Amino acid sequence: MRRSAVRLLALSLVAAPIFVGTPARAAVVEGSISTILSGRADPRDGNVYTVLPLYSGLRLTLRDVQLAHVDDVRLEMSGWLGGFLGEPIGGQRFAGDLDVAYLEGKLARRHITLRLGRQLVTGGAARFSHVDGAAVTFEGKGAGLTVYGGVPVIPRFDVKVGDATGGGRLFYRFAYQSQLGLSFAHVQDRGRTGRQDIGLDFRSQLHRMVALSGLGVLSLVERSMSEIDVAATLQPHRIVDVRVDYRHQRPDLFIPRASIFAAFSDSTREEVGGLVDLRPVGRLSLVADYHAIFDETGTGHRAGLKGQVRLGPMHELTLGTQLRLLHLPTKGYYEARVFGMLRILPTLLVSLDADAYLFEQPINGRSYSFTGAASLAWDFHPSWRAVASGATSTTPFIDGGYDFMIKLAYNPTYRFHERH
Amino acid sequence: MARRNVLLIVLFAVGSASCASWWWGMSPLPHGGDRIRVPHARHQTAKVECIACHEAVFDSKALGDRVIPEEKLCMQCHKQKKDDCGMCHTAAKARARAGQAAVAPQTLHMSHAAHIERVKEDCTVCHKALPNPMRSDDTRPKMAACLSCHNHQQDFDDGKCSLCHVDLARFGLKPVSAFSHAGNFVREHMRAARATPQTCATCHDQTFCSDCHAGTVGLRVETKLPERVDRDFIHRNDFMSRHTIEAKADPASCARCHGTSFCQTCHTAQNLTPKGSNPRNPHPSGFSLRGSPLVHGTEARRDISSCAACHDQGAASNCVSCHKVGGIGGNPHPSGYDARHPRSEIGQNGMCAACHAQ
Repeated sequence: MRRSAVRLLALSLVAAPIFVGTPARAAVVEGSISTILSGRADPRDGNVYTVLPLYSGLRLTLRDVQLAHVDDVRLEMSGWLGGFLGEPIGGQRFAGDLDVAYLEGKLARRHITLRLGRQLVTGGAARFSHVDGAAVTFEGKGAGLTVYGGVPVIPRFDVKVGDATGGGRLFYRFAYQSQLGLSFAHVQDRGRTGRQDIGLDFRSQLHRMVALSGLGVLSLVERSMSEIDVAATLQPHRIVDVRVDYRHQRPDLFIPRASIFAAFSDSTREEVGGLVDLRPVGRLSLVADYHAIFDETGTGHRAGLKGQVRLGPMHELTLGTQLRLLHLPTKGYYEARVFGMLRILPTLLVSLDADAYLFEQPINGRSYSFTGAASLAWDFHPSWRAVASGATSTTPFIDGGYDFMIKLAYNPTYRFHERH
Repeated sequence: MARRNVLLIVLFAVGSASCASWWWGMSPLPHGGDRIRVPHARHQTAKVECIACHEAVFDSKALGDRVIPEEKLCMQCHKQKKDDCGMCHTAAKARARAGQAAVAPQTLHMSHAAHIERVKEDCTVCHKALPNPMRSDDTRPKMAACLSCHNHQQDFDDGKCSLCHVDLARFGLKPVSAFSHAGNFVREHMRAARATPQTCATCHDQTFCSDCHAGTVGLRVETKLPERVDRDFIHRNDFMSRHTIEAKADPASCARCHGTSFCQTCHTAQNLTPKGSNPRNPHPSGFSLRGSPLVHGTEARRDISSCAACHDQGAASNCVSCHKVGGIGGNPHPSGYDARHPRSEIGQNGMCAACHAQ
């Protein structure tokens, strides 16, 4: 946590002269703060402990800051602080971190976007990187280039995922929702190359009813495709969406190359299937999906069916049911779930959830699991929400397990100075 | 212990008190709820030109500018109704009590001054329908009207939303036509985000993404939003029992968010480590037996991520002791490994040195 703070402070010092050129003329601050007290039975190493985490999450956005030569300036921050009143987890009594904290602005008539600080990097070979660093996007006439670099964020539990990371993505946007991208990602880990990939991605709205998307990532270290993913989404009518997709993966290429386990396997995995989402009437939705999974152990199946109906003049009652199965050659499970949400008053929401699993192979000597949960959410003020929830469960790891949560959330908007 | 608990309770109280300090933020209805009823259709029939009343549009460069006429302009035609406030006002007394209303924040950058000459003072080019006191339709021009001009369509295609929209993250619009979130978008959004990240960023700040995706994992989103039972959260309910099955079905899906070290931390807490004393041995019988159908070598080839979840704790914790050069385990590398990794790599890669002498 201390290292993260030092990094962020350094980045802020670098950013300050760029962004703070002239006095700000207007600013809007939006924020939300959630305080959650929860408790649960935590099975660990053959014993059951009671843990009582107290969590406070803060989200803050400063926007509409008017600076000369810089447009759309904003500061985004999201973080959390937690503590454990009961049995500590991993010997830790307190924990906390920043999820994102960055300053962003657009320069040169919005052709350049600069972002400094803790941020998420998405797109192409970057997958979904969490970085302390900088990202710059140059964009004009539909084409653009994003370049980023920094230090991978050390996630909770204080484990490094690399020493440095960098990469970029060259893209061409031929319509609002259509893009073609060529990307590169490099992660340096313990003095060695942890990952070095190039990716080709696209998304194209060929027609009002047809969208295609795809990604191919080639590991330069292993000279092998780590991932290929293509999907086609069809919407022949507004009441139905159909998606077909295919994925190829080499799971070992998702393990850092600096790990010795990267040298033991080169198995591949394929998945092909589709999904149908049907909304015959506005109140009813049905989603069915099926995927066949192929790997060296044989063929597996993943399938699901979910139905949801909203009843009442103002859709006050939502009832839903879900059936799922995951069957692999060596293990699998079946799930049956029913849930409901009832808006008793415009500001009061009650929800119930019952979820049962049947495992093909016993886990810890038991073949089933059941969880029942209920919650009550009350919007007692336009900016405030209080939630209380409780759950009980019987699982392979615990009999009569419990879980409760009390939450108080506040979402204000505060205007420092209205624009004239 | 007690002191720490007290500290946490104080923290909770301070957080709640901070929230409460913003409590008094409710704003009354603008103008006390009063609205002006103008039968535009009747004015049109009477051949009153738009600019006869809305002359201010010639100089208006922002939507917040006042372009509705002053009352005295109305009175030039409606002198005889001077004392009949209700003819135009829905709640004149309430307006008088409310005084000056706060200016509402503008959601669009829109200069009437820049448009009026281009449309040759024909307001109906954009304003296809006009407000009528008997109807509650939203008569504001639709976005399609903006996009009917070539340059705005180009801006739209280039994703330059901020040229017109003040901030879509703050004033969100439901994505219906341009980028539908229909179907199971929670499951599908990964594909959209990695191929068109700038499009997502148009409306969503990263704080939105980090609610579910941040690697620091403060609290799972399922715990944050227990009332949203209709959503397809990945780790809902008893994920602990099925996580080995999910991980086996799609190991890369876990690895996208969690490194193997994430698994290890929990497994260490569970005492599920190579040197742990937990009796729940996750390996099947015959796992160490050469010739067994469940021998660990075959399993490791098929599902190396599961091995790494517990054993990636340095060379001593894993396969190295048996599989090093000269050991009893034999060569653990997959076929074709030598072709991709020449022997010269041994000296450059410290990982190789765990088994190979330089």
